[in-house]
Amino acid sequence: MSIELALLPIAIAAVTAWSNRNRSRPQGEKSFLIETAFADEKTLKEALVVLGCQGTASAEGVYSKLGTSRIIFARQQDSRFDALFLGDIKESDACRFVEELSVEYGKLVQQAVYQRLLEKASQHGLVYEREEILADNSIVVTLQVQV
Amino acid sequence: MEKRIQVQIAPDGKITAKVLGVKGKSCTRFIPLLEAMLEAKAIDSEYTTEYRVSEESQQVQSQQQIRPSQS
Repeated sequence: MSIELALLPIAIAAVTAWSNRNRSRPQGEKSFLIETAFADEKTLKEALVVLGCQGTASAEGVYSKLGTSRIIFARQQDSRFDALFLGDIKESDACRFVEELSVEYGKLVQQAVYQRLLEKASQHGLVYEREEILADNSIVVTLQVQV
Repeated sequence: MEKRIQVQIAPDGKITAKVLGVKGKSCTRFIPLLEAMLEAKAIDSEYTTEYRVSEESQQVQSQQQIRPSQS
């Protein structure tokens, strides 16, 4: 071995910890803003579909619904989406939903990275040798360097 | 030793990559390659024993080459 790298796909923002905070709206409606590491709109919409929701592009970002509550995934300046929950929903339920969504989002990113690796390896002088699925469902792909 | 790259993609999408069998600084050329290929950003890197051994070996060789002859 000569070097080990940790890489973060651009679809995942560099957020080290989940955080959430309450925000009271002027109308008295309670809302929750939950920071996420989601940075790719297409993957976010796909993850919402996996959880039985729909994601619609809006001027503010991505709009969705959870029961009677509305969710706005608002694009931030650092390219992340923050999830703003509006309506009658418990904060704990909103957090749980974002956690479940992040699991599905991660799986989709994993598959996208895997597909990209297989598609582009040969263009970079790399030849697929083998792959392995680990107990934690990580995918390990070994490539031979030809150049 | 054949040169290989081992890429591990976790279920949360995070990636770790090992460049195997490439000694010394030349292994760093794979960092931009992996970033471009995987559409990812390197956030951490660690040189391994093989890298350091190779670098130290090269330094010793260089010193021996520039040292004036005693005879």
